[in-house]
Amino acid sequence: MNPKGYLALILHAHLPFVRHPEHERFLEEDWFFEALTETYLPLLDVFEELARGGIHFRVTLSLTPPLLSMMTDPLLQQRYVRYLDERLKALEGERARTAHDSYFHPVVQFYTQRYEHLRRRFVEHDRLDVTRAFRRLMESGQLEILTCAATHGYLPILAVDPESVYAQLSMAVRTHERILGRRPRGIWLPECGYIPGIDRILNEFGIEFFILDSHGVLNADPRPKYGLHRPIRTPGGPAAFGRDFESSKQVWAAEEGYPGDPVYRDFYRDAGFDVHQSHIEALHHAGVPTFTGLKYHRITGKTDWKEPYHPGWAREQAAVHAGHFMFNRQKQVEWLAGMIDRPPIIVAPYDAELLGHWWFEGPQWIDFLLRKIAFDQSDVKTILPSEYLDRSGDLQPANPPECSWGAGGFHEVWLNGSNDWMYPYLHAAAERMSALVRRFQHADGQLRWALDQAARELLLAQSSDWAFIMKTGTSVDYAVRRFKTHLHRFQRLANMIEFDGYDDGYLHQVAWRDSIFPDMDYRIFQTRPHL
Amino acid sequence: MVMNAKLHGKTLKELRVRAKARGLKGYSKLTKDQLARLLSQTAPAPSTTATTRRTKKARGRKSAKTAPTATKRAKPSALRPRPREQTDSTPTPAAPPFSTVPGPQVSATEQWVEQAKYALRPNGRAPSESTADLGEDIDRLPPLNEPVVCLLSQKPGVLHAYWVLPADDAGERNDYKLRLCRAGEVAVEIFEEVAVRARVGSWYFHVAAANDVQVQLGYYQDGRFVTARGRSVARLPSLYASTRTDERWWISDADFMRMYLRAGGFATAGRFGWNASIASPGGAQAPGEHLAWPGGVGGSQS
Repeated sequence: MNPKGYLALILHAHLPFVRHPEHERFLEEDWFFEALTETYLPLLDVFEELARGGIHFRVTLSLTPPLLSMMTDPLLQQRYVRYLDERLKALEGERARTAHDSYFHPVVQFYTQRYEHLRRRFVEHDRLDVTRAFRRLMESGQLEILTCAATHGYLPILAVDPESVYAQLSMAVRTHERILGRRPRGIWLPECGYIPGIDRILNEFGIEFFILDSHGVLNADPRPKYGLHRPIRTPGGPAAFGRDFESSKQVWAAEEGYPGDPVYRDFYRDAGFDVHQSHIEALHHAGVPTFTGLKYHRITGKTDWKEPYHPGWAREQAAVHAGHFMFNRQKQVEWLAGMIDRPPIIVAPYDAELLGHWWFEGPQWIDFLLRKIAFDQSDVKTILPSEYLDRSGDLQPANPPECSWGAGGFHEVWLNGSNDWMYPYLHAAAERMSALVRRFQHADGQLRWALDQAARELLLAQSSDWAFIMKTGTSVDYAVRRFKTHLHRFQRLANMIEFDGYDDGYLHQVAWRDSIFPDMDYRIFQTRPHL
Repeated sequence: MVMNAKLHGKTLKELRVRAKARGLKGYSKLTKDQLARLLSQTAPAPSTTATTRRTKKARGRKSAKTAPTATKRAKPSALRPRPREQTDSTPTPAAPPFSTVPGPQVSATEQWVEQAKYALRPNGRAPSESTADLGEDIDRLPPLNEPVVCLLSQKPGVLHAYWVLPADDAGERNDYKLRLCRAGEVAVEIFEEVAVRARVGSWYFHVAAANDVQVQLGYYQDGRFVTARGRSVARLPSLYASTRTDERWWISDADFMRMYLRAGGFATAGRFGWNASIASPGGAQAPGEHLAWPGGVGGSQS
């Protein structure tokens, strides 16, 4: 029986490229290890279990080039095993410490089993490379994997130099094909940042669709007949899907959102700050307490007092919330089917790290949701955007406006008093890189090596994460240092190429540190695809 | 949890005084043991203004000896602001701006959660090791030498311009002006003009809805404006839905309004618009109203 409508769950997974071989351990690498532990591996567990059970599901995942690069990096793979081993060691101490604490000992046991499973999975099943598992699910048709710009550069601001947009997209498509074995059909634009003209460039790369925030489709010209519930055909050719507001609100909004339920795990209470014993202090960085991932409390309520976490209760609540979400999608589809004459699609994108890292029970919620959709009703079916496009007939042509999914809906998160100072330097560097490409069209040997590394440094400087972090104030010093470091390295390499002659020692060191994109070709910085 | 023996020796009244002094919330119904445990998990900290209301009855705050019972199936609960932890070493990002207002608050909440994936230590302090260990003098950025003027849109009603004058030019003239304008049919329409006082600088312009706005860097000579260094064109993004409908893909005003409002937009003066950030044009403000947004009054001129 045909469903009344479709649900496209889209999870955008991204972290900036953080890899510091020059240090034995580096704090910000924990961003990646935490996300692996709490989001990517648990999601893989969910999807693989569904697939083994022959349960129909479709989920779209964007895996950005920096994230794919980190997942396939041998140094980070080894460090992740160390990360897991250190926590397993700490949990030995925790088991001893809580042996007579009937409230917290079960939670410690829970984490012990969890980390043992993650280690077994990562080392034996995934053989240190989780991209293999994603690729298998993609090849079996259950997952669609989107690409994203090479270093998540914010394209509306980089587009002052079109060569930068082409470079970001060239390296994205190349990386996606190199690691996942095929070119992407769709792209998650960084922060859904869009200006007219990007659609035409995407078409040159064979990209068939992208996602916009709600107002990116609703404010398209002319008015979209189907609102958010059918994609529009942009002038450049690709289709644009609009994010559904209702399903976003379901998860996020104050009165209706799920992640703040009192039985769910509290994000901030962490053994790294609560437990002052040597086996936990061994997890600190340079003697300063940090998150360990061992969180023993539930949200409880608007109080500093937090009750112990109870995984079973939380799991039950995740099931309730999944049923609630599904019920609301059924009602939504029923309403839409009465309004529009074609099967509507509900596009529900979320940051992947919401599920698991922030909202610990998120992967369980999605597991329950996909099972309930498969078994408990027939109004709504999950679908991939590319499947929906393949089944759609004509799409309405319309011109989306400038927009993003950042706070405010436009560009202010990445362009404001905390970070606007970056752009004169980025634009100047991009112009210089383009000039180098025009001048040296067929470089080889040492020249080629220096040009490729200069291109890497510029792409890394273009990462929108630095501007985002400067605005939101979490690790500002690190973001500023990273931006300035890559800018300096680019400048020095460009000077070597143009004026100063080569410093082999410096080139070796920089290439060893900033090793992303082993197949780099500096000629991506030109106004045509370089694949 | 490690219990502080000194706390355990205090009376309940003394522990409550300490809890109040530390700005803790929700402690009035705790037993002495529970309160001592809470205090041992927190450290004295400067008082902060908590934004959460004290609840009359906190769920789960029963005697520590009460065994957990089977829970009723709870309804999906509100996403409440997280109270600030009261230790020096615990992370204290500000509570997110949760509210029931759709549209902008959803995206602001999402941004707040996204930033949590970068939260590793309190106050965003950089690690003690330097990331720049190859002799890069990262505190001094590479010089900007190529003259340029650039115009970027930030959001509806706000444009950002930056400029670079060559070093020799800056020494010759001191009467440069940065002008935001649009070529009219008869004459140039000037929105705003500011004096340029530095070789490198930036400015935020406020301008009502307009297309093909330009920024020009130049000077006046004999009453005429001479464009000296480049110009850049930007198109202001719009908050509003198109008023055009396609003949083949026609949709009635009523149906469009129903879909639009359900998706978080607003309707005003016969137009449909999108709620952007609170400080942006939109919502209750009439189109074209000038905003006193602090980011636009100044800029930076180094």
